[in-house]
Amino acid sequence: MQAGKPILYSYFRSSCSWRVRIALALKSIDYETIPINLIKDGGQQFSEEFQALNPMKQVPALKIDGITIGQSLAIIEYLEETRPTPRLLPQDPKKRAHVRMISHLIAGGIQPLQNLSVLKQVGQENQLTWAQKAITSGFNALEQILQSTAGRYCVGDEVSMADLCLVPQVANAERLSRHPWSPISEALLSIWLSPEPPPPNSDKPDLLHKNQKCV
Amino acid sequence: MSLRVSSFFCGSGRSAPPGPVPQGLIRVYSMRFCPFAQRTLLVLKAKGIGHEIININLKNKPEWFFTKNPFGLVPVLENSQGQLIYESAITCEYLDEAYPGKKLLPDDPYEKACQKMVFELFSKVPPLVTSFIRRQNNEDGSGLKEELRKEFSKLEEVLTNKKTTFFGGNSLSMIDYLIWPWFERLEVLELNECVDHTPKLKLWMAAMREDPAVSSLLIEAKAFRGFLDLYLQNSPEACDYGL
Repeated sequence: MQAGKPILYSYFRSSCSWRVRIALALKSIDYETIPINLIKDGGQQFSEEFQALNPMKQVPALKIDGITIGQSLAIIEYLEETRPTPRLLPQDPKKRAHVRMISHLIAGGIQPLQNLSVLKQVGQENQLTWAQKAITSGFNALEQILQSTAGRYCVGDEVSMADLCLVPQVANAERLSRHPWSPISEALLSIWLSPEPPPPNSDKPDLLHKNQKCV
Repeated sequence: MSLRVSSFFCGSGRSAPPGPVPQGLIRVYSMRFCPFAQRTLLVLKAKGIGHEIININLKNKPEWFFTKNPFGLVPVLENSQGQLIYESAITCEYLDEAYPGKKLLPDDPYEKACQKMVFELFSKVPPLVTSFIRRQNNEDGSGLKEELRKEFSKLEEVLTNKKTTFFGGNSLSMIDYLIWPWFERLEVLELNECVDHTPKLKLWMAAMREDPAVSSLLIEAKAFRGFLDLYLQNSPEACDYGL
Protein backbone atom coordinates (compact mmCIF):
# COMPACT_ATOMS: atom_id res chain seq x y z
CA MET A 1 0.00 0.00 0.00
CA GLN A 2 1.24 3.46 -0.85
CA ALA A 3 2.06 5.90 1.92
CA GLY A 4 0.06 9.09 2.16
CA LYS A 5 -3.63 9.73 2.63
CA PRO A 6 -6.21 8.81 0.01
CA ILE A 7 -7.30 11.76 -2.15
CA LEU A 8 -10.95 12.28 -3.01
CA TYR A 9 -11.86 14.40 -6.02
CA SER A 10 -15.24 15.71 -5.03
CA TYR A 11 -17.86 18.41 -5.60
CA PHE A 12 -19.95 19.68 -2.73
CA ARG A 13 -23.26 19.42 -4.62
CA SER A 14 -22.52 16.05 -6.22
CA SER A 15 -24.71 13.32 -4.75
CA CYS A 16 -22.31 10.69 -6.13
CA SER A 17 -19.40 12.28 -4.29
CA TRP A 18 -21.56 12.40 -1.18
CA ARG A 19 -22.04 8.61 -1.26
CA VAL A 20 -18.29 8.11 -1.10
CA ARG A 21 -17.85 10.76 1.59
CA ILE A 22 -20.33 8.88 3.76
CA ALA A 23 -18.50 5.59 3.19
CA LEU A 24 -15.15 7.15 4.07
CA ALA A 25 -16.65 8.69 7.20
CA LEU A 26 -18.38 5.49 8.32
CA LYS A 27 -15.16 3.54 7.89
CA SER A 28 -13.17 6.29 9.63
CA ILE A 29 -10.81 6.63 6.70
CA ASP A 30 -8.79 9.83 6.80
CA TYR A 31 -8.44 11.49 3.40
CA GLU A 32 -7.72 14.72 1.55
CA THR A 33 -10.19 16.43 -0.69
CA ILE A 34 -9.41 18.10 -3.98
CA PRO A 35 -12.52 20.05 -4.93
CA ILE A 36 -13.57 19.86 -8.56
CA ASN A 37 -16.12 22.57 -9.25
CA LEU A 38 -18.40 21.30 -11.99
CA ILE A 39 -19.56 24.77 -12.93
CA LYS A 40 -16.73 27.22 -12.36
CA ASP A 41 -14.30 27.96 -15.18
CA GLY A 42 -16.55 26.12 -17.59
CA GLY A 43 -16.35 23.03 -15.37
CA GLN A 44 -13.08 22.00 -13.76
CA GLN A 45 -13.81 18.37 -14.65
CA PHE A 46 -12.90 19.26 -18.22
CA SER A 47 -9.34 20.25 -17.38
CA GLU A 48 -6.63 18.17 -19.03
CA GLU A 49 -5.29 17.26 -15.64
CA PHE A 50 -8.58 15.86 -14.42
CA GLN A 51 -9.38 14.11 -17.71
CA ALA A 52 -6.11 12.21 -17.37
CA LEU A 53 -7.21 11.11 -13.94
CA ASN A 54 -10.79 10.20 -14.90
CA PRO A 55 -11.55 10.03 -18.62
CA MET A 56 -15.26 10.06 -17.82
CA LYS A 57 -14.75 13.63 -16.54
CA GLN A 58 -16.94 12.98 -13.51
CA VAL A 59 -16.67 13.09 -9.76
CA PRO A 60 -16.06 11.28 -7.51
CA ALA A 61 -12.66 9.80 -8.15
CA LEU A 62 -10.53 8.33 -5.38
CA LYS A 63 -6.74 7.97 -5.43
CA ILE A 64 -5.99 5.21 -2.94
CA ASP A 65 -3.36 2.55 -2.41
CA GLY A 66 -1.55 3.50 -5.61
CA ILE A 67 -4.56 3.33 -7.93
CA THR A 68 -7.29 5.73 -9.06
CA ILE A 69 -10.88 4.56 -9.04
CA GLY A 70 -13.89 6.30 -10.59
CA GLN A 71 -17.60 5.35 -10.26
CA SER A 72 -18.92 5.76 -6.73
CA LEU A 73 -20.16 2.19 -6.25
CA ALA A 74 -16.86 0.69 -7.43
CA ILE A 75 -15.08 2.95 -4.96
CA ILE A 76 -17.38 1.92 -2.14
CA GLU A 77 -16.98 -1.79 -2.89
CA TYR A 78 -13.17 -1.38 -2.96
CA LEU A 79 -13.31 0.31 0.43
CA GLU A 80 -15.54 -2.51 1.67
CA GLU A 81 -13.08 -5.17 0.53
CA THR A 82 -9.99 -3.46 1.88
CA ARG A 83 -11.39 -1.83 5.01
CA PRO A 84 -14.16 -4.27 5.91
CA THR A 85 -15.42 -2.69 9.14
CA PRO A 86 -18.00 -1.49 9.68
CA ARG A 87 -19.58 -3.45 6.88
CA LEU A 88 -21.57 -1.72 4.18
CA LEU A 89 -22.66 -4.88 2.40
CA PRO A 90 -24.45 -7.67 4.27
CA GLN A 91 -22.93 -11.12 4.49
CA ASP A 92 -26.02 -12.91 3.26
CA PRO A 93 -25.88 -13.12 -0.56
CA LYS A 94 -29.59 -12.40 -1.01
CA LYS A 95 -29.45 -9.32 1.19
CA ARG A 96 -26.29 -8.27 -0.60
CA ALA A 97 -28.12 -8.60 -3.90
CA HIS A 98 -30.90 -6.35 -2.58
CA VAL A 99 -28.37 -3.75 -1.45
CA ARG A 100 -26.75 -3.77 -4.87
CA MET A 101 -30.13 -3.65 -6.60
CA ILE A 102 -31.20 -0.56 -4.70
CA SER A 103 -27.80 1.09 -5.09
CA HIS A 104 -27.75 0.55 -8.83
CA LEU A 105 -31.36 1.61 -9.20
CA ILE A 106 -30.35 4.95 -7.78
CA ALA A 107 -26.82 5.27 -9.15
CA GLY A 108 -27.69 3.96 -12.60
CA GLY A 109 -31.42 4.49 -12.94
CA ILE A 110 -32.12 7.82 -11.29
CA GLN A 111 -29.13 10.05 -10.71
CA PRO A 112 -27.64 9.97 -14.23
CA LEU A 113 -30.98 11.04 -15.67
CA GLN A 114 -31.00 14.18 -13.56
CA ASN A 115 -27.37 15.11 -13.34
CA LEU A 116 -25.87 18.40 -14.47
CA SER A 117 -24.71 17.43 -17.93
CA VAL A 118 -28.02 15.82 -18.86
CA LEU A 119 -30.05 18.76 -17.59
CA LYS A 120 -27.90 21.10 -19.66
CA GLN A 121 -28.75 19.14 -22.76
CA VAL A 122 -32.44 18.96 -22.01
CA GLY A 123 -32.80 22.71 -22.14
CA GLN A 124 -33.77 25.23 -19.52
CA GLU A 125 -37.57 25.11 -19.90
CA ASN A 126 -37.64 21.33 -19.58
CA GLN A 127 -35.11 20.83 -16.83
CA LEU A 128 -37.29 20.80 -13.76
CA THR A 129 -39.98 18.57 -15.22
CA TRP A 130 -37.40 16.18 -16.66
CA ALA A 131 -35.51 15.86 -13.39
CA GLN A 132 -38.68 15.45 -11.37
CA LYS A 133 -39.93 12.72 -13.70
CA ALA A 134 -36.67 10.78 -13.39
CA ILE A 135 -36.77 10.96 -9.63
CA THR A 136 -40.48 10.26 -9.29
CA SER A 137 -40.43 7.11 -11.38
CA GLY A 138 -37.30 5.86 -9.60
CA PHE A 139 -38.73 6.59 -6.18
CA ASN A 140 -42.03 4.92 -7.09
CA ALA A 141 -40.11 1.74 -7.87
CA LEU A 142 -38.02 2.08 -4.74
CA GLU A 143 -41.09 2.57 -2.59
CA GLN A 144 -42.35 -0.82 -3.69
CA ILE A 145 -38.99 -2.53 -3.25
CA LEU A 146 -38.42 -1.07 0.20
CA GLN A 147 -41.71 -2.50 1.39
CA SER A 148 -40.16 -5.95 1.29
CA THR A 149 -36.51 -5.21 1.99
CA ALA A 150 -36.54 -2.49 4.61
CA GLY A 151 -36.22 -2.78 8.34
CA ARG A 152 -34.77 0.29 10.03
CA TYR A 153 -32.73 0.90 6.90
CA CYS A 154 -33.11 0.12 3.23
CA VAL A 155 -32.20 -3.52 3.68
CA GLY A 156 -32.81 -4.94 7.12
CA ASP A 157 -31.64 -3.19 10.21
CA GLU A 158 -28.11 -2.19 9.26
CA VAL A 159 -26.79 0.72 7.25
CA SER A 160 -25.62 -0.39 3.83
CA MET A 161 -24.43 0.98 0.52
CA ALA A 162 -28.09 1.34 -0.43
CA ASP A 163 -28.65 3.92 2.30
CA LEU A 164 -25.52 5.77 1.19
CA CYS A 165 -27.12 6.11 -2.23
CA LEU A 166 -30.59 6.98 -1.00
CA VAL A 167 -29.77 9.87 1.31
CA PRO A 168 -28.05 12.04 -1.30
CA GLN A 169 -30.76 11.20 -3.84
CA VAL A 170 -33.44 12.38 -1.42
CA ALA A 171 -31.49 15.59 -0.99
CA ASN A 172 -31.50 16.02 -4.77
CA ALA A 173 -35.24 15.45 -4.81
CA GLU A 174 -35.78 18.09 -2.17
CA ARG A 175 -33.61 20.55 -4.01
CA LEU A 176 -35.52 19.94 -7.21
CA SER A 177 -38.98 19.90 -5.74
CA ARG A 178 -41.35 22.69 -6.55
CA HIS A 179 -42.15 23.95 -3.10
CA PRO A 180 -45.50 25.67 -3.47
CA TRP A 181 -44.47 28.32 -1.02
CA SER A 182 -41.22 29.04 -2.69
CA PRO A 183 -41.45 30.59 -6.12
CA ILE A 184 -37.67 30.65 -6.11
CA SER A 185 -37.19 26.90 -6.65
CA GLU A 186 -36.76 27.52 -10.37
CA ALA A 187 -34.48 30.43 -9.66
CA LEU A 188 -32.47 28.12 -7.41
CA LEU A 189 -32.22 25.58 -10.20
CA SER A 190 -30.85 28.19 -12.54
CA ILE A 191 -28.32 29.26 -9.92
CA TRP A 192 -27.35 25.62 -9.53
CA LEU A 193 -26.70 25.43 -13.23
CA SER A 194 -25.10 28.83 -13.62
CA PRO A 195 -21.34 29.27 -13.36
CA GLU A 196 -21.68 32.85 -12.21
CA PRO A 197 -23.33 34.21 -9.12
CA PRO A 198 -26.61 36.02 -9.92
CA PRO A 199 -26.25 39.73 -10.76
CA PRO A 200 -26.59 41.98 -7.69
CA ASN A 201 -29.87 43.64 -8.59
CA SER A 202 -31.81 40.60 -9.76
CA ASP A 203 -35.50 40.66 -8.94
CA LYS A 204 -36.49 39.43 -5.54
CA PRO A 205 -39.20 36.78 -5.60
CA ASP A 206 -42.69 38.05 -4.88
CA LEU A 207 -43.57 38.20 -1.24
CA LEU A 208 -45.76 35.27 -0.30
CA HIS A 209 -49.24 36.68 -0.21
CA LYS A 210 -52.51 35.39 1.14
CA ASN A 211 -53.59 33.67 -2.09
CA GLN A 212 -50.82 31.09 -2.09
CA LYS A 213 -51.59 27.42 -2.43
CA CYS A 214 -51.25 25.45 0.78
CA VAL A 215 -48.10 23.59 1.62
CA MET B 1 -39.31 3.28 5.81
CA SER B 2 -41.38 5.11 3.26
CA LEU B 3 -40.32 7.52 0.56
CA ARG B 4 -43.80 8.86 -0.07
CA VAL B 5 -42.64 9.89 -3.48
CA SER B 6 -45.63 12.02 -4.36
CA SER B 7 -44.86 14.28 -1.47
CA PHE B 8 -41.74 15.64 -3.13
CA PHE B 9 -43.30 17.22 -6.13
CA CYS B 10 -46.96 17.77 -5.26
CA GLY B 11 -48.55 20.22 -2.90
CA SER B 12 -50.21 17.61 -0.72
CA GLY B 13 -48.48 15.09 1.46
CA ARG B 14 -45.23 15.65 3.27
CA SER B 15 -43.46 18.77 2.15
CA ALA B 16 -40.09 20.04 3.24
CA PRO B 17 -40.09 22.63 6.02
CA PRO B 18 -39.75 26.22 4.85
CA GLY B 19 -36.49 28.05 5.32
CA PRO B 20 -35.80 30.91 7.72
CA VAL B 21 -37.83 34.09 7.57
CA PRO B 22 -36.07 36.89 5.67
CA GLN B 23 -34.92 39.88 7.71
CA GLY B 24 -37.45 42.67 7.87
CA LEU B 25 -40.45 40.38 7.53
CA ILE B 26 -42.56 38.34 9.86
CA ARG B 27 -44.11 35.12 8.64
CA VAL B 28 -47.62 33.94 9.46
CA TYR B 29 -48.72 30.36 8.98
CA SER B 30 -52.33 30.76 8.00
CA MET B 31 -55.26 29.37 6.02
CA ARG B 32 -57.30 31.56 3.71
CA PHE B 33 -60.65 30.75 5.29
CA CYS B 34 -59.71 30.43 8.95
CA PRO B 35 -61.36 33.07 11.19
CA PHE B 36 -58.68 32.71 13.88
CA ALA B 37 -55.87 33.32 11.38
CA GLN B 38 -57.87 36.22 10.00
CA ARG B 39 -57.42 37.98 13.34
CA THR B 40 -53.66 37.97 12.85
CA LEU B 41 -53.91 39.06 9.22
CA LEU B 42 -56.17 41.95 10.24
CA VAL B 43 -53.67 43.21 12.78
CA LEU B 44 -50.78 42.82 10.30
CA LYS B 45 -52.74 44.87 7.76
CA ALA B 46 -53.94 47.45 10.26
CA LYS B 47 -50.44 48.12 11.52
CA GLY B 48 -48.81 47.95 8.09
CA ILE B 49 -46.42 45.18 9.17
CA GLY B 50 -44.40 43.61 6.35
CA HIS B 51 -45.20 39.91 6.30
CA GLU B 52 -45.21 36.76 4.26
CA ILE B 53 -47.91 34.11 4.40
CA ILE B 54 -47.59 30.37 4.24
CA ASN B 55 -50.96 28.68 3.96
CA ILE B 56 -51.27 25.33 5.66
CA ASN B 57 -53.55 22.59 4.38
CA LEU B 58 -55.46 21.91 7.58
CA LYS B 59 -56.87 18.70 6.13
CA ASN B 60 -53.40 17.40 5.33
CA LYS B 61 -50.93 19.05 7.67
CA PRO B 62 -47.24 18.65 6.93
CA GLU B 63 -45.41 16.99 9.83
CA TRP B 64 -42.99 19.89 10.15
CA PHE B 65 -45.87 22.19 11.02
CA PHE B 66 -46.11 20.61 14.46
CA THR B 67 -42.59 21.88 15.11
CA LYS B 68 -43.98 25.39 14.63
CA ASN B 69 -46.97 24.84 16.92
CA PRO B 70 -47.44 21.70 18.99
CA PHE B 71 -51.20 22.20 18.63
CA GLY B 72 -50.81 22.05 14.85
CA LEU B 73 -53.20 24.99 14.48
CA VAL B 74 -53.05 28.27 12.61
CA PRO B 75 -52.27 31.09 13.04
CA VAL B 76 -48.61 30.91 14.03
CA LEU B 77 -46.11 33.76 13.75
CA GLU B 78 -42.44 33.16 13.00
CA ASN B 79 -39.89 35.96 12.90
CA SER B 80 -36.40 36.10 11.42
CA GLN B 81 -34.90 35.14 14.78
CA GLY B 82 -36.89 31.93 14.59
CA GLN B 83 -39.20 32.87 17.46
CA LEU B 84 -42.62 31.25 17.22
CA ILE B 85 -45.89 32.59 18.63
CA TYR B 86 -49.20 30.74 18.50
CA GLU B 87 -52.77 31.27 19.77
CA SER B 88 -54.50 33.95 17.72
CA ALA B 89 -55.13 36.45 20.49
CA ILE B 90 -51.55 36.12 21.69
CA THR B 91 -50.21 36.69 18.17
CA CYS B 92 -52.28 39.86 17.90
CA GLU B 93 -51.09 41.24 21.22
CA TYR B 94 -47.49 40.39 20.32
CA LEU B 95 -47.73 42.26 17.02
CA ASP B 96 -49.24 45.29 18.71
CA GLU B 97 -46.41 45.40 21.25
CA ALA B 98 -43.50 44.47 19.01
CA TYR B 99 -44.24 46.82 16.15
CA PRO B 100 -44.55 50.61 16.03
CA GLY B 101 -47.43 52.60 14.64
CA LYS B 102 -50.99 52.84 15.84
CA LYS B 103 -51.51 50.94 19.08
CA LEU B 104 -54.54 48.70 18.84
CA LEU B 105 -54.63 47.89 22.53
CA PRO B 106 -55.08 50.82 24.93
CA ASP B 107 -52.34 51.64 27.42
CA ASP B 108 -54.79 52.44 30.17
CA PRO B 109 -55.09 49.34 32.38
CA TYR B 110 -58.83 49.67 32.82
CA GLU B 111 -59.50 50.18 29.10
CA LYS B 112 -57.31 47.22 28.29
CA ALA B 113 -59.17 45.16 30.88
CA CYS B 114 -62.49 46.21 29.28
CA GLN B 115 -61.31 44.94 25.90
CA LYS B 116 -60.37 41.61 27.45
CA MET B 117 -63.74 41.39 29.16
CA VAL B 118 -65.57 41.92 25.88
CA PHE B 119 -63.35 39.20 24.45
CA GLU B 120 -64.63 36.88 27.15
CA LEU B 121 -68.24 37.95 26.50
CA PHE B 122 -67.71 37.01 22.87
CA SER B 123 -66.04 33.69 23.66
CA LYS B 124 -69.10 31.46 23.24
CA VAL B 125 -69.69 32.68 19.66
CA PRO B 126 -66.97 30.72 17.82
CA PRO B 127 -67.99 27.30 19.23
CA LEU B 128 -71.66 28.10 18.54
CA VAL B 129 -70.93 29.01 14.94
CA THR B 130 -68.88 25.82 14.58
CA SER B 131 -71.76 23.74 15.98
CA PHE B 132 -74.11 25.46 13.57
CA ILE B 133 -71.87 24.71 10.60
CA ARG B 134 -71.41 21.09 11.61
CA ARG B 135 -75.03 20.39 12.39
CA GLN B 136 -76.62 17.44 10.65
CA ASN B 137 -79.01 17.93 7.73
CA ASN B 138 -82.11 17.12 9.72
CA GLU B 139 -81.45 19.77 12.36
CA ASP B 140 -82.87 23.18 11.55
CA GLY B 141 -80.42 24.99 13.81
CA SER B 142 -83.09 27.12 15.46
CA GLY B 143 -81.82 26.21 18.91
CA LEU B 144 -78.30 27.29 18.00
CA LYS B 145 -79.62 30.50 16.41
CA GLU B 146 -81.40 31.34 19.64
CA GLU B 147 -78.22 30.82 21.63
CA LEU B 148 -76.34 33.06 19.22
CA ARG B 149 -78.97 35.76 19.64
CA LYS B 150 -78.44 35.57 23.40
CA GLU B 151 -74.68 36.02 23.04
CA PHE B 152 -75.16 38.89 20.62
CA SER B 153 -77.46 40.61 23.10
CA LYS B 154 -74.61 40.69 25.59
CA LEU B 155 -72.46 42.46 23.05
CA GLU B 156 -75.30 44.84 22.19
CA GLU B 157 -75.42 45.78 25.87
CA VAL B 158 -71.73 46.71 25.82
CA LEU B 159 -72.29 49.07 22.92
CA THR B 160 -75.39 50.50 24.58
CA ASN B 161 -73.51 51.22 27.81
CA LYS B 162 -70.40 52.63 26.09
CA LYS B 163 -72.41 54.73 23.64
CA THR B 164 -69.61 54.32 21.09
CA THR B 165 -69.53 52.89 17.57
CA PHE B 166 -66.81 50.38 18.30
CA PHE B 167 -66.15 48.07 21.20
CA GLY B 168 -63.10 49.97 22.37
CA GLY B 169 -64.41 53.49 21.84
CA ASN B 170 -65.06 55.69 18.84
CA SER B 171 -62.23 54.31 16.80
CA LEU B 172 -61.59 50.76 15.77
CA SER B 173 -59.26 48.87 18.07
CA MET B 174 -57.99 45.38 18.86
CA ILE B 175 -61.24 43.94 20.24
CA ASP B 176 -63.11 44.84 17.04
CA TYR B 177 -60.61 42.97 14.90
CA LEU B 178 -60.62 39.99 17.25
CA ILE B 179 -64.35 39.42 16.96
CA TRP B 180 -64.97 40.57 13.37
CA PRO B 181 -64.19 37.32 11.43
CA TRP B 182 -67.26 35.54 12.83
CA PHE B 183 -69.55 38.47 12.02
CA GLU B 184 -68.21 38.52 8.49
CA ARG B 185 -69.36 34.92 8.10
CA LEU B 186 -72.94 35.47 9.37
CA GLU B 187 -74.29 36.40 5.95
CA VAL B 188 -72.88 33.42 4.02
CA LEU B 189 -74.00 31.09 6.81
CA GLU B 190 -77.49 32.59 6.67
CA LEU B 191 -77.29 33.71 10.27
CA ASN B 192 -77.91 37.41 9.63
CA GLU B 193 -81.29 37.13 11.32
CA CYS B 194 -79.45 36.66 14.62
CA VAL B 195 -78.55 40.35 14.63
CA ASP B 196 -82.07 41.51 13.80
CA HIS B 197 -82.72 42.48 17.42
CA THR B 198 -79.31 44.03 18.01
CA PRO B 199 -79.31 47.26 15.97
CA LYS B 200 -76.07 48.71 17.40
CA LEU B 201 -74.28 45.50 16.56
CA LYS B 202 -75.65 45.78 13.02
CA LEU B 203 -74.34 49.33 12.74
CA TRP B 204 -70.98 48.17 14.09
CA MET B 205 -70.84 45.49 11.37
CA ALA B 206 -71.47 48.12 8.69
CA ALA B 207 -68.82 50.41 10.16
CA MET B 208 -66.33 47.54 10.25
CA ARG B 209 -66.77 46.89 6.53
CA GLU B 210 -65.56 50.46 5.90
CA ASP B 211 -62.24 49.77 7.57
CA PRO B 212 -59.41 49.30 5.03
CA ALA B 213 -57.89 46.27 6.77
CA VAL B 214 -61.29 44.58 7.06
CA SER B 215 -62.33 45.29 3.49
CA SER B 216 -59.01 44.13 2.04
CA LEU B 217 -59.44 40.74 3.70
CA LEU B 218 -63.13 40.15 2.97
CA ILE B 219 -63.73 36.66 1.65
CA GLU B 220 -66.06 36.34 -1.31
CA ALA B 221 -69.26 34.47 -0.33
CA LYS B 222 -69.05 31.90 -3.14
CA ALA B 223 -65.45 31.09 -2.28
CA PHE B 224 -66.29 30.60 1.37
CA ARG B 225 -69.25 28.39 0.53
CA GLY B 226 -67.11 26.33 -1.83
CA PHE B 227 -64.44 25.94 0.83
CA LEU B 228 -66.97 25.02 3.51
CA ASP B 229 -68.66 22.32 1.46
CA LEU B 230 -65.32 20.65 0.79
CA TYR B 231 -64.09 21.19 4.34
CA LEU B 232 -67.15 19.46 5.81
CA GLN B 233 -66.39 16.50 3.54
CA ASN B 234 -62.81 16.50 4.90
CA SER B 235 -61.51 17.08 1.39
CA PRO B 236 -57.78 17.87 1.16
CA GLU B 237 -58.69 20.28 -1.65
CA ALA B 238 -60.81 22.50 0.62
CA CYS B 239 -58.14 24.89 1.76
CA ASP B 240 -57.06 25.71 -1.80
CA TYR B 241 -60.61 26.29 -3.06
CA GLY B 242 -60.68 28.90 -5.78
CA LEU B 243 -56.96 28.77 -6.55
